[in-house]
Formats: sequence, C-alpha cells, structure tokens
Amino acid sequence: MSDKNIYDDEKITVNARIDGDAVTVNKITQAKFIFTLIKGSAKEVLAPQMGTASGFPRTATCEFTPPKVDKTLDYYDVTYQVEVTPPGKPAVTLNGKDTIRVWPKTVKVRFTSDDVDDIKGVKFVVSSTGKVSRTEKKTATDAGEWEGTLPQAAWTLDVDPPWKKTDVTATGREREYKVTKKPFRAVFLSPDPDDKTKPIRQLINLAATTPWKKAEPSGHTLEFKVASDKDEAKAGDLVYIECQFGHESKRTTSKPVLLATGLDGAVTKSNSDKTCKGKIKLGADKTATFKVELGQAGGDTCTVKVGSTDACGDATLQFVNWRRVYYQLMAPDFMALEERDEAGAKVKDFPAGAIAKLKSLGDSIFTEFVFHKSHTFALAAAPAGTALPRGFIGRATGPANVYILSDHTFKNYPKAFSTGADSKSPREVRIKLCDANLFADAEPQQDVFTVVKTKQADLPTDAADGALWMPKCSLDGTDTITEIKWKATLDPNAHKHKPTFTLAAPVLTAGSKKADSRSIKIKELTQNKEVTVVFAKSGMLSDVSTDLSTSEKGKIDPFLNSLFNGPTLRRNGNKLQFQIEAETGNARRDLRKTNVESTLTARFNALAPEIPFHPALDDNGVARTGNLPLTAVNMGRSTQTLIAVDLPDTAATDPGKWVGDPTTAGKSEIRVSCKFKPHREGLGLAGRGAQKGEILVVFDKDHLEAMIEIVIHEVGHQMNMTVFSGAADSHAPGFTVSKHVDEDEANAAYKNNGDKGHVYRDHGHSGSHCAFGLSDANKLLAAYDDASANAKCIMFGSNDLANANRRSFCVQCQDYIKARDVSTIEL
Amino acid sequence: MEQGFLSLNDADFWDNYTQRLNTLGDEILDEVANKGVSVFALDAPKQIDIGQRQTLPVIGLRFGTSAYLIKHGYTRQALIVATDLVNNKTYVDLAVQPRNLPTRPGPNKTPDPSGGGGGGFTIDVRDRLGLPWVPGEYLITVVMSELVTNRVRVKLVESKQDPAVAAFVAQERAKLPLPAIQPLPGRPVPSYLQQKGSPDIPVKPGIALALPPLSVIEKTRECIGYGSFRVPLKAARSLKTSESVQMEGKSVNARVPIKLFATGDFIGLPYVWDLVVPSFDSPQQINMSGEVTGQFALDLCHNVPLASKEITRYVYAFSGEVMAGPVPMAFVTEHRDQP
Repeated sequence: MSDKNIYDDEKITVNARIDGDAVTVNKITQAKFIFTLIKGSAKEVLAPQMGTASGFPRTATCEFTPPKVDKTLDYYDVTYQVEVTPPGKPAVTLNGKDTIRVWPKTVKVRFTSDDVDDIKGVKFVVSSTGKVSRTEKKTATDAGEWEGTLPQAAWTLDVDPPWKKTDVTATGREREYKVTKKPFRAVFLSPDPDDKTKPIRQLINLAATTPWKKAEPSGHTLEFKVASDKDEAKAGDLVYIECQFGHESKRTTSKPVLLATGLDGAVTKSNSDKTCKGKIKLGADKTATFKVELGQAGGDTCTVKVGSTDACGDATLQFVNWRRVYYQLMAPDFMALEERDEAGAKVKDFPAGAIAKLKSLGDSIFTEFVFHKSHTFALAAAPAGTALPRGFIGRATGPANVYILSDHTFKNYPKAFSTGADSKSPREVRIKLCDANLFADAEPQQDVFTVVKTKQADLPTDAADGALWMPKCSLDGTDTITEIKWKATLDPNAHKHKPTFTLAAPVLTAGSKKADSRSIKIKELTQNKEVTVVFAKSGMLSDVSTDLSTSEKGKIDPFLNSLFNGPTLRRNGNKLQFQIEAETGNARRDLRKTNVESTLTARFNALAPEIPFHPALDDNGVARTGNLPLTAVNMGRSTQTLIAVDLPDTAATDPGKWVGDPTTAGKSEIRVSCKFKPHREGLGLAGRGAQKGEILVVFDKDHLEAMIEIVIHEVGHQMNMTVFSGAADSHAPGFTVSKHVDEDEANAAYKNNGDKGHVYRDHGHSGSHCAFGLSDANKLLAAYDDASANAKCIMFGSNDLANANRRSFCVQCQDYIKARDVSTIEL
Repeated sequence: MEQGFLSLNDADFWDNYTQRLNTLGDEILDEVANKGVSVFALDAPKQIDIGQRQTLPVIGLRFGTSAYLIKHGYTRQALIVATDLVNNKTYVDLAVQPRNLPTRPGPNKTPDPSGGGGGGFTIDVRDRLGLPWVPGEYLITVVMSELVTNRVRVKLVESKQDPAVAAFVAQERAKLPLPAIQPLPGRPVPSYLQQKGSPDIPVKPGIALALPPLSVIEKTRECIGYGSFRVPLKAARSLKTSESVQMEGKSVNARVPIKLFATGDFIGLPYVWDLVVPSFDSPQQINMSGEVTGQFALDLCHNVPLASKEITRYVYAFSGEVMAGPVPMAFVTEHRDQP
C-alpha cells in the first residue's frame, strides 16, 4: 500500500535525522540515499544518491527526481534507504517508513481503426477507481489521439456510441484502442415505457392505439417508431431490428413475427422462427416505423432490439401478452357489496376476497379482470316478487331483504347497463348479482298437500320432487301459485247426530167457554211449519176430549217427518224448536196442551233421524271445501321450500273456525293443497337474446371464491373453453382436440390422477366440460357429480357455493385458453 | 293405467291437455290423500304425422305421498326409453335435460307424514332422444329407479308421402346392416351359450334376467348377469344360410339387439350395454315358431363402476316389444367387526 501518490514530474525531498552524541554526529557530513523502484514484481535499485548532513539535531537531506512511468505501466512504487557512516564505526542503514506511488503526469490514448475516418474525434469516457473515483468524458483529436492528466488512480476507458471498442492493443501510460464508428445510436420513440428494463404487459385483445399508450398498452400488432439518439443519423441510414419470440403458446395463427411491411429487404428467421431479423431505413424525418405481430396468445413473450448495427445493441424492449376483460356490476343497493371511491364517485364492487380470486384466476391465463362500472337501485325499484324477506332463503342475519332473480326478472331489470361508448363492449362481462336464482322446472304445475290441525298450514314444496317456489313465475312473472284449496277431512258418517229438540214457551189464549171442538197448533219455528190437531166431543153431550184421537195423532208423524230434511236441519244447526199455541183457562185445556207436548216429544224421539252434522260439513252433509286467495299465503313464514298458508277464521264456515284436533267435538283436520309452478335453484345464468353478454350470479359474501369460480366458469365458456369441433380445436389453431375421458392422454404434462383425457360431455351436466382431477375410475361414472370432490378444474360441469374444494384452470385448460382470441366477449 | 287414460285426442297432446291434467290430477290427489296410493303413468298420441308435427309429446302423471315423491325425484331420476320397433333400436336418456349452469343441490328433504302431491310431466321424446324424424313405430316408457310406467305406442306416419316412396324407404331400411355381435365372446364371459346361472328361456315372448341380487363391494370382482329371451322374429334379424357364421362352436342364424341399462342413482343417468346377441336357433325353428330365442351372460362390472358405492341399482332390458325389469342389484359395504 502506498502512503503517498505523486505524478512523475514531481520531486521528493527525503530528510533523515541522525541521532547520537553531539560530538559523533556532528562529524557526519554526508549520508547515502538508496531509492528502489517497484514495478509489479520487478525491483530496480537506483544508484545511491548523496545527501548533505547538517545542523543539530543532525539531519541529512536528499532531493529525488522520479523517473517517468514506463509507457507500458500505469504507475510504479518507490521505497528508499539512508546509509550513514559514523567516524571509526561501521555504516548504519535506515529504511524509509513510507512507499511513494508514482503516476504518469501525462497519459496518452491513441485510437486506431481499419477506417481512418472512424478515429476522428472519438468520444470516450475514462473511469477512475480507487482513492479517487471519477468519470471524465474526453474527446480525441482528429488524429484519434488524446493526451492529458488523469487522477492518481487506476482507470478504464469506454468509447461512446456510435463508436465501438473492438480491441485493446496496449495498456499503461500510453494506450491504444482499436475502434469502429457506428453511424448513430438507435432509440425507440414508441413504445416509450417509463421503465425500459421491465417487460411491458401488452393487452393484445384490446384495439391497438397509435401512438402507443403507457397507461394502456393495447393491440397485438404493435407499431414501433425508431430514430437516432442525438439526431446523428441521416435519412436513409439503416436501423437493424431483432425480435426474439418466446413462442410459449402452440397457437399457429397470428403467430408472433416481425412483419415485413416497410422493412428494407426480407425478414430472416432462425431458431425455429423464434428469432426474426430485419432492417429499416430512416425516413426524411430520420425516423422509421415497423410492426411486430405479438400474436393472440396470452403469456407469449417477445424481446425487440434495435441498433445502428446488426448487433442491435442500442435499445431493447420486452413484452408479455396479456388480455383484459372488463366487468360491469348490477345489484340492489341493499346488497352487501364493497363501496369505494373511484374517480370521485362512489362505486360498488366485489369484496376484496372476490377480487383476489379474480386476480388469481386471471393471472393463470394472462387475463386481467377489471372493474368498469357499477349500477345499483333502491328496494322500491325492485320488480314485484324479487325482493323478499331474508328468511325466505333461510338467512337469519344480514340485510332484511334479499333479491331473487329468475329467468323472467333477469330480463326485467329496473336499471340498464352502460352501453355503447360508455361500455367496454365487446370485451366486457355484465354481471347481475342476486341473493338467489330460481328457474322454472320442466314439469307443468305440481300439486302439494298437507293435513293440518291448526290455522297455519305449511306446505313443503319439496314433496313435489324437491322443488322450490317463489311468488312470481320465473318464466313470465305471473303468479306461481294458481290455486290454493282446502278441504275438511272428516267422515260425515262419523258425525251423525239427532236434531236437538226444544220447546219454546207456549202461546196460550183464554179460549171460549163453549165449543164443540178445541184446536192446538204445533209450530216449528226454525222451518216455520205448523200443524193443527183438533180435540172433538165423543158425543153430543160430552165434553171436548182431552186426548188426541188416533186420527189427530196421525198428523204429527208427517209433520215431524217433513222437518227431518238434512240440508235444512244442518242449515239451522240441526235444531228443531217447537211452540204450542193452545187455550188455557182451565185444567182440561191445560191437559190438552200437555198431552200434545208429550205426544210430540214421544213421536220426535221415535222418528228423529241421526244426520251427519259438523261445522266442517256443508248443508248437504259433505265435507266443506273451498278456495283461498293468494293473500292467504303468509310471506313472513314462507320459505323457498315452504308455502305457508293462513286459514281464514272470520265466518262460521271459514276453516279457521273449526280446524283442530278431530277428537275434539266440532273440530276437524283440514287438507290444504296448492297448485304451483315448481322451480329449481341455480347459481348462475348466462344471458341470451337481449341479455346476451350478461351473467346472473348468486352473490354470497360467505363464499366469495366459489362465486367467482362460477363467474369465471361462464366466462371460460365464452372464451370457447371445452368447445371443440373437427379434429383440431378451431378456437386454438394449432392445437389438437383435447383427449376425452375415454381416450388415453398422450401429453404427459396434461395427465392427472390417471392416464385418461379430461374432456367430457353429459355425465349429468349439460355441454362439454373438463374432468381434470377425476381418476380414471371416476371417469367411468355415469354421473360425475358423484366424483365432484375430486374435480380440480374450474371448467368442471357443476359447482356449489358450499364446495370447500377451490378450483382453478387446470394446466391443460390454461394452455388452451391462453391460445384463444379474446378480442370479443359476448356471453 | 293404459294408454288413453287422459281421454285426449291425438291433437290435444300438443296444446290442449292442461285442463284434463288438472281435473284428473285433483281426482288422483284425493286418492293419494285418502288411500295413500301412488300413480306413475304415461299417455301419448297414437299417431303423429311427421309432416305436420315436429315433436313427439308424451304426458305423464306422477302422484304419491310425500315420502314416495321425495324418494323418486323426477327431474333427476326419470329416464325416457323409446324402442324403435322397425329397427329394434332402443334409446334411453334422462327425461329432463340437465341445466347448463351450476345448480345448487336441493335442500335435504324430510317427508311430510300427512302430505303428498304430484302432477303431470311432459317430454318431447324426439328432442330428448334425438329420434330420426322418419315414419316408424315406437314403444315409449318412463323409468324412475324401480318405477316404470305403462308403455305407450306411437306411430310416426307421413300422410303426404307417396305409398310407393314409403315402401321403397321401408325396403331400404330393411337392408340396413345389423350391427355385428357385441360384445364378442370371451373367457368365460361374455358368452351366448346356456350357463349354469342362465334363467329359463321364457315360454312367451319376453326377456328373463338373473343378476346377483346382493354384492359386497369390497369383494366384488365381477357381476355376472345372465339373460334369456324369446322375441318375435320381427325384433330380430334372421340370417340367410350364406350369412350364417360360427360362434362358440354353433351357427349363428339370427341376431337380436337388446338394450340393457342400470339405473337407481340419485341422478338417474344409466349405465348402458348395447348388446347384439346371437341366436343359435335353426332356420327351421325360427321359421316355424316365428320367434327367436337365445341367451347371454356378461360381466356387468367390467369397465363399469356399478359397485362404486352402496346402492341398489335396477337393471332393465328392452328388445322390440318385450322388456324386463326392474331387476335389483344391491351393493353393500362389508361390515367388519372391530377387534
């Protein structure tokens, strides 16, 4: 390590103090100084140089002039010794304490070239490192030379573009570099990302923009504009282009390539077309534009290099193909979505957990799912039959109302999505969120019935094939329930009773003193019928009899029988009330009345029939039945699996008046039946016709990831996943049709849990789906829902919000979906 | 119930059946409520002019107690089975097309002890089974696990077709080559010879099946099913002497298509075996009786996961006018005693 640095044009003065007794040292007048030059591993001892000693304390001084640094050396080091000889004593040698590093004062750089013109005014940079670190820009003379002083440090030299250092022919104080001069340094004017070292996410499914936009790099055919860095180029100069394509996807159309349009000469391809080279002339404005097809496959990479020589070393840009799919959301404002500010406005979006799942799924297929707009509406605006109490779908907590969509209400929405310029069509998905989705079943209307002992009749709809119901039909918005009937279940013959016999207070009159006969009227008050019996004299002189004659008694039976009319009796409560109109005033008259009463009573008891009588029987003795209006359905108690009916109890004939335990008198069980259009529950729906491009999805904040899987499953279909025709997959040109579950999978990368392929149709699902994850044995099953726990791919044919197994695109579906053109998303 | 129970004219089956269905449904509902009966029946137009109509509708009734209805879920379990009597080709598929979107499974169902219900169902058989829309005659059935409706007969005619053309078409169809024997005989099964387990050949036209009624899943390596049949000659294809081939050491003189399927799962999707069974009856026998007999034996578990879980499966066989089933095959898990 040197202690001191000097240039080789500087002198060094070395002073050596000579200690000792004054008499002796004062006799020393000279000292010998010996300097040693250390040049790498070589040492060169110079001839001793004498110095004069004087003064006391005695000091010997010597001035040393270092030799020039050799041309071939960057520096050398100097060490020294002092030798003194006291009188009469042997010489004493002292080593200097420090080392001196000697640098050249003048450094010379000479540039050479095969083309003498190339060395004129070479611009270069000298970088010094060590105690002094410095970068200095220099310019050589027209003769290609530079001479000057550099810091006392090791240094390196680099030439500035357009020069290029090809060979170093010398090192040391005088150096020689062989250079070539490029005409200029090429740069990209467009694209011009902020950070050129990072790959650019190029959104290949969006329409290309000119110029290229930093905020939204779009288009799969990308235009590049190049120029020279410092306007050093001239029109007609060539810019060299090299494209390195990753060709990660096997897609064969719109294959990544350097397009020949505008180039000077043909494009040369090598490395299985992964490398494309070309060149282009700068135009009058000293710029040039060329195009690169990045392809339509997500995840494909590309590196584009340009330069003023075919080394293409001046500028580099890297690209990764991505696709972007936007979404609009529609939901009632009482749904628990996440509210956030966007551009100063409140918007509602999926909660963070759902967005994270969207990103995770999107990343696997190089697709961004980006929020565009949300649309909400108030409870009052919800179409009839769509906003129901939360208990209807079995929720005990959360917003008081839930929003239920069906095929019909899906089409009749209180608000519209943004369209035209306000939308991102055709690269967007429009999502309608609901809390439940019911759709009409295949069958005609179904009947359900139950038998109740209370006024509350709960009809479980699942008796009709596990069906659900909702108030408005999913097909046309009409009432789902078309009939509610009730019917008493009692057996009329088990409720036979004799009519109740009562005698009202008689109507008595004084009567005449003399009469040949006496009459008594028997009235039945409920039916307003009467009969008159007559008491006659048995002889001219006899009194009027107090006993009824046989003939008069004979009037009573027909009279009574005329009263025993079942419907009339039931209408009157199965009661008969008699009243006697008779004379009074003496014992005989009273006896006649008594005799009539007792005869009437006796005959009634003998003749009165037992008739079916019960509040639940109508006048004809038939079990009562009736229809109820839809208002009898209690929506507060109803659920999607239960139609709750409240039986009316206002009028005496209302079933609510007498429904009850049939062992209790006057009570009867009631069978309540209902005709309704059965429904099933779905988790999503892809719109058709006017709703094309829309997806209906059941939003469940407790199962956000499963919900997003359902959304992306549908979007996946729209990306033509698992839809194939012919021998090749027409949606992913270059790909063969995926192997079906009954075929052997040839591609080891796609094999999973067995040797069979993954594509299947039917098996209980509709359309074509992916069975990745199912074992070969599973794939023999008739119904794949039996093995759904093994399914790993999001394109499996069924899902369930409560499914604990998270799904994503399988490796095979990833490959296929990345190869698909996503420039249009129309569900 | 037999075909015609709805008392509808043929034309009513397309758009005029609702009222009749409701009326009859109300009557049946009373029977269900009062007597606990169940009804599973099918009706259909007797004849359809394929030049006038584009669909083949059948209308069914399904009523029963709550427990009955819950056990037999129509939407997922019902199979529509149609046998083309001209070609003796049987088609089978789910009666209701599964929805092309994820669905939420229905809630757990508990039978209402005093409840019940039911209703009608309609199926466009042409759509569900992809039937060729050409003149012909079909026998149609709906199967739900162990339940099977009556069979209805529907003729497809083309009134405007020239009789000569119709005759020509029929002649051409008759020339269609019958599929080869399938599956081919193996060791020891498939076999078309009488086996120890083979049921007797029915004395009247019919199919007899003998299947293992109970199998322990863990021990099930094979499920050999045996069948014997007697079918009218028109359900078979008799071979000319020159066409006769040797199989299992005997001369094959006729071939009989038999559709075998097993159902009974929560989702009724069937496991299907399309058999073309040889008959070794002599040409003289066939000509004299006008019937063809034969037998078959095959391992129903070969490449078919019948024993994938505890379940009772129901096996049916269809060939022309005859059918067999349901024949139950139960698969149970072995119960091991804990040490």
